[in-house]
Amino acid sequence: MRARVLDKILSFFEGPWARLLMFPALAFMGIFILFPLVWSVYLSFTNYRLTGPEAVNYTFVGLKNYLKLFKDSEFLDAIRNSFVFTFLSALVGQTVLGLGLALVARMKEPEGVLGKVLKILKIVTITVVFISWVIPEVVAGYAWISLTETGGFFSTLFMGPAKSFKFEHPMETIIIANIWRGTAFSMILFIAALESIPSYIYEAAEIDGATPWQRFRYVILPLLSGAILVDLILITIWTFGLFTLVYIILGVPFRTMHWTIYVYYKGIDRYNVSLASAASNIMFLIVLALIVSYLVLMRKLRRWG
Amino acid sequence: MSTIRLESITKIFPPNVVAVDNVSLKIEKGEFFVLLGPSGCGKTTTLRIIAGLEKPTRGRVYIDEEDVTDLPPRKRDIAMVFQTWALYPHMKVYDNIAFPLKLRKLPQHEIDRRVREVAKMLRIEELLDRYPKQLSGGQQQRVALARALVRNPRAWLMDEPLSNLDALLRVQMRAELKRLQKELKITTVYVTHDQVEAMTMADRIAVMNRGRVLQVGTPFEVYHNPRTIFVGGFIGSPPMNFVRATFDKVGENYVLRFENVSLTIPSELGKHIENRVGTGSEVVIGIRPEHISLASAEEENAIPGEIYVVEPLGTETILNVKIGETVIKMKVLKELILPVGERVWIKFDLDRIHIFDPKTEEAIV
Ligand SMILES: Nc1ncnc2c1ncn2[C@@H]1O[C@H](COP(=O)(O)OP(=O)(O)O)[C@@H](O)[C@H]1O
Ligand SMILES: [Mg+2]
Repeated sequence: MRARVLDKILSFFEGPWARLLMFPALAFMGIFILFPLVWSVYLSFTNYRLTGPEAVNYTFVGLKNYLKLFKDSEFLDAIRNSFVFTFLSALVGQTVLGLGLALVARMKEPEGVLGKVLKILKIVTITVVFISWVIPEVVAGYAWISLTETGGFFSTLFMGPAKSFKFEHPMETIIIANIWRGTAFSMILFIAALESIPSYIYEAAEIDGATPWQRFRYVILPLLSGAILVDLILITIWTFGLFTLVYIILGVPFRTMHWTIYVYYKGIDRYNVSLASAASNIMFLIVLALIVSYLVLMRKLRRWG
Repeated sequence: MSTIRLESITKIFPPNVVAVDNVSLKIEKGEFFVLLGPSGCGKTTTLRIIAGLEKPTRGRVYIDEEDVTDLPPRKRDIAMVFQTWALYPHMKVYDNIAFPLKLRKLPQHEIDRRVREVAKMLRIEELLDRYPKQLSGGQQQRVALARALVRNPRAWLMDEPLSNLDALLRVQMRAELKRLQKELKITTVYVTHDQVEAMTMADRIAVMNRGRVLQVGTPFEVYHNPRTIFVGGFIGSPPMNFVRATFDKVGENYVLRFENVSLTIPSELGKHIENRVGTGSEVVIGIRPEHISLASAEEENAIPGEIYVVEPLGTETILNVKIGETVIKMKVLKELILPVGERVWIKFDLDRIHIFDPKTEEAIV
């Protein structure tokens, strides 16, 4: 009975009215994504600040903010470091490690005691990886501070008792922290993708005489290319845009380590919102270019679709 | 050319599905060996055990008398056509077929020659540049077959490799495959549920049911000497007729009684049955449609009946004749249209009847 009423309501939306259902989502995106984007483009061409006379009487200044940024060695450092950070922590760290873990997760253990031990080890590892992903970002950030400040486990292990790992190696610190935190996503994505490859395709490759490496290289990897693309796009966006974790661990003194800290410093600490907007827009274009190039590359590789 | 031997193979899938039940087989060098049985009888599982994709719960697998039970598939040097085809979706047809050769690092021109040769035989030359998704089921199946035939392995394992082809192509491929196998003399284990395929292609057939091998023999043997009711019923089309009857001795004569019929059987046969089960016992008569003929009332052992259904097949006709409550199928080798309800007399070829024990379902003679 109730199902029939529901059917009636739903069938109303099957026709031209279906578009109406998109409205709430579109409105949400319009207000919270599209508007700030347009607004920040607009602001970046002005001299708007959060305080002072320019907070009220701001004027159009053309490309001045952009020119200023390209002369600012801190900003250029921040961009370069953001690339290093994203490349090493997300693309190399999370994707490769996530794929490795996913392959391990799917592997059949041998029979007997060794197999049982391996299985337990595997479950524990995956669980730990997963936990590091679901605990709050702020908590994760402070955990990494306590590990890498003077006297922390990492510091003591690598630097001795008197030094701080974080201060000596800020980039390494956030790379490791981000790999630790983000790998679970790639792992889950790849487990799901591997699950969708029918087992008889691996078997056919085995029969055809492929070694485990050849099966990976010629069968699994190409079949995963779609998932790899999705993974690369998402984690590139996320890592480039990552703020909380790196800000908590490093803070404003290390603003050249990641551009988001730089933008925060300029916009919130220094109140120069227009300059910060210009910096954000540059990064937006860079990320966009990266993603378009992934898509082009993948289209070349995946013609069998 | 290799031999394959299965020694007491049992495969139990958890929790307790017995897919293969204590199967022992010896497949000879260069033999075309068919595993025949209904769906779910364990054919695929048996093949996968030979391939090494499945580990037997009990028993050993030998190739060329070497114990390969613990060897992974790639070290067994066998080629297999999967029931599900298992083509690589990201490779063009050409690369699908060439893949096993590339892994073996054959020279490029040799790979090209072999791929084109096998593609020509299977009539998929025009498809070499396509992806599997762009092919019909029958075409994909031929690509799967090509990927196995392109190699010269120790054995070919084929799991219903012609099932998706249309009737005409299937008949043609059957002949091509058999010719190629005889030419290259590669030991072949061929799985099918189609008894015609088994009869026409096999050197020997193993008939399977419920995980067990019921009988192994040449097509001639399994056709003429079925050891169980199941084998008799599974091989031949239309299938063997089974009639429950009582075996008795009247004076010096041995008789089989069913419905209102009393057949006097040759005394040789009668003595044999008497020795095995004794007089007065229940038996099952098995008689093939092609071993029943139309007769006249005066003939000895003629059985009265009436036409129930007539199935014309062109040069031959299947008559369904009702005797009491029993319907018997018989085959006459001509066009013959009889009205339903017409009274006829039929005659069993008593030299060709099979007698089974209804309890064990095994042949008595
Ligand atoms: N992986 C599996 N897990 C559980 N049961 C299986 C599995 N594979 C096959 N079976 C069962 O084993 C029996 C034999 O299957 P199969 O060998 O595929 O038969 P066939 O190829 O003769 O149709 C069937 O009852 C089937 O359901
Ligand atoms: Mg099967």
